[in-house]
Amino acid sequence: MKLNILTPIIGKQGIWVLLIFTFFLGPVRSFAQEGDAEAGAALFKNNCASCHHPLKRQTGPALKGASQRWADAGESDLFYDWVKNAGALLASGKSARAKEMESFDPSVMTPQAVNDSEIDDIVAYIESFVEPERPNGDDGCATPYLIEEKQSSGKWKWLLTIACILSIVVFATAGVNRRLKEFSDEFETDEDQTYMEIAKDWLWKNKVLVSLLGLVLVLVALSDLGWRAAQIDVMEGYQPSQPIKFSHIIHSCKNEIDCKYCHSSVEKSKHAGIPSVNVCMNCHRSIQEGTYFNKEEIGKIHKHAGYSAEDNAYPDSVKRSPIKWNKVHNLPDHVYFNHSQHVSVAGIDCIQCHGDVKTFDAGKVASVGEINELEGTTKLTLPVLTMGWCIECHNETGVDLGKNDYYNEIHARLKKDPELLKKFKEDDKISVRELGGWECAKCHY
Amino acid sequence: MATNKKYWKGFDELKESPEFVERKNNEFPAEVPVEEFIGSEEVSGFNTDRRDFLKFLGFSVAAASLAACEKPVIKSIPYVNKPEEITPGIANWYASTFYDGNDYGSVLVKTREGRPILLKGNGSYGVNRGAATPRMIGSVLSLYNEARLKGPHRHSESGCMPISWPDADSEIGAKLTSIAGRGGKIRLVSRTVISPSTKLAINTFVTKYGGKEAFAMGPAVADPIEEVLGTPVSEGGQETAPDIKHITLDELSYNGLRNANKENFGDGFIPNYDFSKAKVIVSIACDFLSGWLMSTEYIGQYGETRKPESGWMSKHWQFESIMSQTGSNADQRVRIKPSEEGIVAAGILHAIGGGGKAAEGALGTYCELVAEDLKSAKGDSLVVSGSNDVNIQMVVNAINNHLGSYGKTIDRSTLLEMGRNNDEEIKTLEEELSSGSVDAVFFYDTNPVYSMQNGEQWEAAIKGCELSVSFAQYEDETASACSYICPDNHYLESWNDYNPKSGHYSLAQPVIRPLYDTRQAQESLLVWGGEATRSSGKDSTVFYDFLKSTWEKYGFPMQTDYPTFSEFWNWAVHNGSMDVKEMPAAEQQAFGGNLNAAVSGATSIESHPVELIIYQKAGIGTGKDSANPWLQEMPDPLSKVSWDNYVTMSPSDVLAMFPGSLTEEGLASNSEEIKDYSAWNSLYIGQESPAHVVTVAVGDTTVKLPVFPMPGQASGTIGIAMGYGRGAHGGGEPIIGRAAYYTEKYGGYEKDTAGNLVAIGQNAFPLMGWQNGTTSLSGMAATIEPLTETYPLACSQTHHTVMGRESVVRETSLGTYLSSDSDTYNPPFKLSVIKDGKHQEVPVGEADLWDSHSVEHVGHRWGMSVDLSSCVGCGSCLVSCVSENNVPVVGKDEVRRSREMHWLRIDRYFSSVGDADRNAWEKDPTTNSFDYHQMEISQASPSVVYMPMMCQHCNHAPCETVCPVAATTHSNEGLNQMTYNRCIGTRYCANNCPYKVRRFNWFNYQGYKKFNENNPAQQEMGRMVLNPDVVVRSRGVMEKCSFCVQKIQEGKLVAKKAGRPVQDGDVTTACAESCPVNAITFGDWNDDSSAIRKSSESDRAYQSLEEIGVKPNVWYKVKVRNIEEDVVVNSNDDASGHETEHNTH
Repeated sequence: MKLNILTPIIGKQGIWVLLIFTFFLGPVRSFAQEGDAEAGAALFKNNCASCHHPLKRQTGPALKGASQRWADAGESDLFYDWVKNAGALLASGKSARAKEMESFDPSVMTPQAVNDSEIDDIVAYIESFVEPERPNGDDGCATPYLIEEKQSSGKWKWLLTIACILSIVVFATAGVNRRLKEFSDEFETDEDQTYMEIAKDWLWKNKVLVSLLGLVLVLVALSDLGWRAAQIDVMEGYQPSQPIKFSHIIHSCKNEIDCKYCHSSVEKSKHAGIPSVNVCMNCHRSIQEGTYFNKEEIGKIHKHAGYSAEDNAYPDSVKRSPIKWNKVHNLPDHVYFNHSQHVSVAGIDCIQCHGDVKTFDAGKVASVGEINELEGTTKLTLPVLTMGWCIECHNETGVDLGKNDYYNEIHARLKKDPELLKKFKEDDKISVRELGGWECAKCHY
Repeated sequence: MATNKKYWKGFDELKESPEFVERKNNEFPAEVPVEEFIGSEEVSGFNTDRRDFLKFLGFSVAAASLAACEKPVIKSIPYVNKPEEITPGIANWYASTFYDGNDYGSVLVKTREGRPILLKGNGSYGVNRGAATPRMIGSVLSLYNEARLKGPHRHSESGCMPISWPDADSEIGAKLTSIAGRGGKIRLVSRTVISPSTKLAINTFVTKYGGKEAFAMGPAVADPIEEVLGTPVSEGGQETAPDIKHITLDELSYNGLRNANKENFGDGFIPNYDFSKAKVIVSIACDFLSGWLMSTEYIGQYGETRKPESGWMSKHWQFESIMSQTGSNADQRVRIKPSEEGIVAAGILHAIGGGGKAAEGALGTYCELVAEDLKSAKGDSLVVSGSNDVNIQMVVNAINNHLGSYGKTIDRSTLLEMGRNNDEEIKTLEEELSSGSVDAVFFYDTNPVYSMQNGEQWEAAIKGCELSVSFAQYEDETASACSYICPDNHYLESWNDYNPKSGHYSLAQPVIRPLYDTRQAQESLLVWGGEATRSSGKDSTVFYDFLKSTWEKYGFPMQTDYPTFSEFWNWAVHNGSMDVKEMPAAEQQAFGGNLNAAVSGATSIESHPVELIIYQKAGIGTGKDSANPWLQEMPDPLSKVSWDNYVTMSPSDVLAMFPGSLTEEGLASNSEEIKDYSAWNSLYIGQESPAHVVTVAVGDTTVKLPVFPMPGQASGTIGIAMGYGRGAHGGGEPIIGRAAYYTEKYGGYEKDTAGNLVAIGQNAFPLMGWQNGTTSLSGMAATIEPLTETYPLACSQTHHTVMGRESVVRETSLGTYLSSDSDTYNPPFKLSVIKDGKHQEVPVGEADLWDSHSVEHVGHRWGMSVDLSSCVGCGSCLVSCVSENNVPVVGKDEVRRSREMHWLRIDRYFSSVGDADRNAWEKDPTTNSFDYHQMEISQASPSVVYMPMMCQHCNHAPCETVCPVAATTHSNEGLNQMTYNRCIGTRYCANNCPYKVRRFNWFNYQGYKKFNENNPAQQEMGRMVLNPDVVVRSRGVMEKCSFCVQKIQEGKLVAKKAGRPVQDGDVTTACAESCPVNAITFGDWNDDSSAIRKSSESDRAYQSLEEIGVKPNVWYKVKVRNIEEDVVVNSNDDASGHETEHNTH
């Protein structure tokens, strides 16, 4: 497939909507009198962006001009109540506009913990919002789902063909040779000797060379076997196809969505979590068309979510079903691994184990080589997701006892044994291993 | 001192039987079941020659290598809409309430990804203060029982057919209307209802069809609920048609107690007992630690009084026939026959000077001794009786009244709602049913066909009714006789509220959506009562709305803490229970009643040569849990037998019945089974020594059961556990659950000649009696016939022996404890060494063979202490451990081979004082003459020590040094780690373990067919109970207690995330948190201020087998008994006192 950068980007604006989650380009001019648009930008991102866009309808309506519309209805004061607790305002029956809004969309906004001045800031930001200009072409991201032609298989074919041709040539020459010999040696005595016998004779004559050669062959075979055995269960490069052509390049690189937005339990739980369909729908309710596969792939999400794009609703008649992803990083059942331990306690970046996810589409097991090339990673030697790799890192990584008060007590106790502490500190750090990170029952129970 | 005591777990250990000796030297009998593979018909039918074999081999190798190349693709399936409260990988805990008519308690349910996987007592709220019985903990597995009905059923000509809910509703509704229209009789039979909302639902139903409200409703809205919903209006009598009534029917009747209070105080209540205030506790055949009324509350209260550190301990007297859980913990235990209960009660009353009638002989002496104790603690005493005889209960009331216990240990202003069945009323119903005058009958959470003495008659009578409906979750004995079964939800799928005693309310909330198309019984009643229409199937909120509105109407005005109902409701559900303001003390009537008549009634109970007691086992209870494999496999705390019920008899009675094991003829006909017939043989129960079988007859009813010789049982009495023999009515189907039936040796069910499944054990309820106007579970006249048959019992009492090292347990008396220093009752072990050229005694710790592990200073050092003084041996820790750690169920056959997998066992040691005179006879029992009295002296009434035994996490672990592959290693936190995937199964470690706590996985329990019926991990539903944080071990590896390392890691992570050091309570083990008496303390020993550190430094703390120098991280605390110095007194008195009794043999 050929790379065609220019084709579908233009005109497919949906993708840009996602930008608001993480960064806001373009000039933000503050012309609101009361609010501070810059503060408002942050507030909007934290509180509103998952449901609202200034210019487009998402889960909630487009917000530009909202405060004006309330003012037009003569309820500019109630606007603040509406934002803070729409349900309560509706229930109070004070607001005619609220009633009107309800008939527009019966789902009521959840109460928001913002004060009046913060609402002003948000309004200021919304009013000043303009669609950020598209950066021209190259955003430093790879092209999603660009399938490069695989060379390796071709190589083998070529080699095989060459080998075949060579052997034919060899046999042919040998045949010709023999014929010639037959003709020329017609009168010699040992004409009964077959090739096998000739080979045997030859082998016997050169037995030292042959046995040395044999030894080398055996050694090569053995070492190859050993190398292959070491590859069993090494999952580096494993990148299963997925039911939906989800691309980390689009989400993580082009739109700079934080890993934790989708893998939200990574700081809380042992599982990083695969986002449930409703998380996808947070954005894909408004982004209904992709840049590369148009509606095809996003449509699959809609189907799983039971969402009808025409009605912008989830009709009861449409069946919902979970997406059956293929698991990429798979640890055996007897291994206990906890993401939150590593991410929220140790503060390890995702890339340390998962590589530069921004550069690939479907999830894959990054190789240790790739990871080592990244900036700020601990350099390791053993293949990713093997036990050797885990414990190598536990040996390399130091624990900063001062950073977490959990270690206060442990540090105090360690000081009672100065010899041990000195031993630990020999390499200028107290490694995870020294605190027990190599112990079996830390991961196996 | 207890140095002259001998500790033994069973008779074979005491007597060193040849089998015992062989087994103790071979902990893991390695019989490989080759027979099964080679001997089976299928295999022998194969005709495989060498060539084929090689082909197979070649193919297998190739297939295996090919299979190994391709890793299976694993799916990862997230939610469509993730519920807000669920984070995959993180457990949610919900407060709920357990009530099965027998046990009541506030519980916390652990759910993972929406599946309930573990249950424990709620330590923060509720009357049980964190206590949970094995049955409560095990109930989480019953949720996943695949035998539960998947929807409503109708019995018709063609059998039991599923129908839809609308059909069931309309058919039942139509029949009810027609019956009510013509003035027919409708009866709603239920277990004691302690739920206010359920009472209202029943009222709705009853009034809809023209009945009077079953539970009286008061007019005042703001009144507390129990004033509103008081006692059931049962004495109707003159209702005009239609005749519709609610009747309470429990397995266990407290009718005698209620009637006695009615006589004495004018009201048939059950008062609130407070054992924590009792300095002297006298129990007359009352098992208040297991199964009696609010035993979940009493067990914690009792535990409080058993910690000698406070300077005092309760003095506990127990008069009983069988060795009960409670009796085994008593300081002084006196064996009586059930017919003597009244004599004892009257004797005590006489001895304290309250009238009564003096007891004669030894019992009189005991009564005097008891009276002395009671009088010395006047007011701070409590006398309870487990009898259902009104006279005995009245005499007991008189004792308590005379001692001034009312208002102190017995609170008459707080009344229990439990145990409300009325035996007379049930009898009337029985007559009505059998006369065919009842048109419609409903059974809610009650199973009379199984639990009534004449269950068969009930069955026939129910079948004769025009309409009979059961709400049972299974097609149980009663349900299968009913025309409709409208299955109720499991309690973990239901909303409910409870009012176990006045002033205390609790809520139950569903923790999982109903697994099947079942409907809560209350909703059915509301639908039939016209109060509601069934809404949206499984997500129906009919009863929830009803319950909530009840609480808004009645519950919310009762409190002042919360201003709005929604806030009140949220906290009520969150906490699970609440206490409301003190009730205005009801006008209390002074003590009255005809005491003289009661005394003469109580003392003139007819005695019989053999009296039967039907008792409750800790695991099986009244039989609701018969299909629960965890509970079936839990060894009985006293007999240590699992998977069976049996006849318990005094050892001397067994010997008398089977002198020299069997007669010559008997031996000849059983020569295969019985080779050695020495006198003691009949007392051995083991893999190769089956139990003898007897038939027990009460009236016309007989059961055939094996005999278990139970030390401490009164001579002339036999005990049979209730709750067994369930589900036998189903024929070829395991209709109440797979684990309720006997299985074959290599999987599959055992079947009788008719091809029906054989239920485990025998139902003892048909042997029940009727005494003095109430049902009776003890004192029935029984006859017992020895048979020449034998039967194998799975008894683990002498499995995993500690090779005669009696330093395992230590005990002392309260007097010694208070007056002496710890060297007297808890002497440290000293080693004799030659040091500096001199003979010296040094502490064990100073001599080390190994380098020490650096566990003292680095991070944590996890330690545990177990207080033998407060441990009552209930077994909650064991079931909790099974639940938390995915411990496999292995079934009876494997238990018999001592291959049970329990990581934690409770060693029950009997102890008795050595007797020189008996030695000759002991050495050669066949030639020396046998004398019952010599037996009586020491072993007939032994004292009991319970000792939970789990991996001791030795810092010098002998197992670690012998492992050839370093699969078991030591962590710097003091844990003895077991790495299953490294283990190659040499079992050296187990051989080297002095505590015998390592277990070997002989099989792939979650896959092998032998365990198909018993192991929940083999069942689609059952495996949902597995803890996803703990690996399910495979065949060929060792496993053992890990100190719940998953909980340790989790607790540390919580502290790390919060950025603070680990505090006491962050980390605990499953056993520690389930212990109802807080006997187990767990924590970080390196933390100077931790509870475990303090506990381990207590005067009573010792390490089991300290002398062998393995430096365990588990400490035990010396058991203290509140007795006089001389332990022998009890037994001697006892023997002389029972002379008269033996003449009956």
